[in-house]
Amino acid sequence: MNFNSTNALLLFILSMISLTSYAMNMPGHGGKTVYCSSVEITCASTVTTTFAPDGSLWRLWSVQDSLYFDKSDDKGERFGLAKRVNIAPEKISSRGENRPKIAIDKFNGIYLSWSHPLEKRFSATIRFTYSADGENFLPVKTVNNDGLNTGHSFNEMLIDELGLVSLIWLDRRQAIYAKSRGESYNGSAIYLAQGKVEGNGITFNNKKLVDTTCVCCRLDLTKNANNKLALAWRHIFNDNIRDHALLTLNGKSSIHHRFSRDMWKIDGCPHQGPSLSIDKTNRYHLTWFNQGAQGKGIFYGYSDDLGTNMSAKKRLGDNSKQAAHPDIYAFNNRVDIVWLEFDGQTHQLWHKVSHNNGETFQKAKMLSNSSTKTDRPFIIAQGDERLVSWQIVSNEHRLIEL
Amino acid sequence: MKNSIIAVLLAVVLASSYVLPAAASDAFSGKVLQQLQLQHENKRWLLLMWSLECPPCFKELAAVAKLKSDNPNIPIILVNTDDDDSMTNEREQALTSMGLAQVPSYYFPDQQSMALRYAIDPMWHGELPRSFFYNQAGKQKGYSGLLKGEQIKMWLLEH
Repeated sequence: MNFNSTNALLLFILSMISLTSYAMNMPGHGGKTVYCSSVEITCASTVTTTFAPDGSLWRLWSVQDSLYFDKSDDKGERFGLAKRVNIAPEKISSRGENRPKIAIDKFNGIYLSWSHPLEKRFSATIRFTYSADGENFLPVKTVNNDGLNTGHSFNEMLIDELGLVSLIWLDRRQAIYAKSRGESYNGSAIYLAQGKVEGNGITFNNKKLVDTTCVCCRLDLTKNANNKLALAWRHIFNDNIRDHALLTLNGKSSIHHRFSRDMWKIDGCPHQGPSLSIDKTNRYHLTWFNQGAQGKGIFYGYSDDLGTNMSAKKRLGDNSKQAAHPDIYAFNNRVDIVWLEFDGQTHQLWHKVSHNNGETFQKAKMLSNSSTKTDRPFIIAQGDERLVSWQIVSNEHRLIEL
Repeated sequence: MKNSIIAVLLAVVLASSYVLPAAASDAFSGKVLQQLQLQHENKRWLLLMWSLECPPCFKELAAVAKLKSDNPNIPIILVNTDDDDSMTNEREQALTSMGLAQVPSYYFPDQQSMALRYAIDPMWHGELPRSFFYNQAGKQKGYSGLLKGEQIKMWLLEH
């Protein structure tokens, strides 16, 4: 072999190696090849929407490892220019029920949290940042304090009038601890972190609230009439019975209450968590989805004693048409519930309303439909203002007045 | 000297391309399901639905990989339900890294998961893992939740 042909062969082999390593270096878990060509909201799989105390409406979405937000001062008629959250790009969980969250304070300070997937499958960290002006964001903070390469996801966030940030999420650290003790651990735990932005930073504590929850269903976090945090989630009871529970953080008891008894036994992922809304009389209104031996479909029920006793459950929607993903809002004796159905061809957004605080509901109405893939619907509300946020993926973000 | 470098580099190329056969799933459709049913006429077979976002599914995939290596002809078909073309690479990487490249694999094409789910079984609400057992008469029975390797083996091989 002469010098030139040897060099040519070397070059060929090197190029093969780089090609091979390129092909093997495809995006890891959470990585996305870019298909949608812009960063517009229509390209997002999920959209999170919230009202600010001043009545402005804010939307948050994730595209191409970045977060974007925009704002409307006329309840969604028109939105200002979308802004990129000015932090280093990183992977952001934004599919199904695991999605970024936004909250706005009375000074229009922006609070963001999300789950950031790591290389190892099903591992992620909970992330947080804040901006007073929408331009400059705090250095991104990892909220979970265990330093473990394991699951931290399905974050929910609430900000109070004094700027206290409360974050809850599903956390797999207890499974790691159990394994190191040679024990087994079924499911996840729910952790709470609280902190206040002070100066240019925020410090979060971490507190375990509950053990053995479902690992892949959203949580719901809200405040009750006494300004106490209340949360609802899908729990694992006994031998993989995936029913629902709620907990009020009132300092008196850390006992959670089971609020559904549909007996869905599944060692798997329902991918559907409950929705909780609490009115000024402290009635807890709940909606959930189950496919259990004692209940299949979407249900509604309420409790007047923090979940100790539940009303009889009411069934909503058509289970044979895939009725799923209900969301609820209760205010001044009115209860609104929205959910999705699918008739084989069309994705449908349905709505039911009660004007007597959940005792009876009017006939369900279809609000909107789509022939293409949609996100879950959410009721975005402030007092008597109620909108449904419904993302038609790769098409449009719809805001529908209730 | 140069020849030995070439030998090493060649070995690297060969090793890196050999490591694991790469998975390459096909799009699932009603027609595919019909073909699969025809292919398995008068036989028991299993259709297993999984997702990248379902931790228990990976336990099931590991069990399938083990069964497949012990029984190369075991009639198991995998279907990924993520319904998102942007996850194609990740999906195939997962199958490859689990040693499942040789198992017939399909995926729900973008935008079609609801329609396909509805066509396969309108009472399946997307929970995972989801298994469809087909018996010799072509009758389908759905089951939601993790299956153990032993359960699959008993149903497919030891009946």
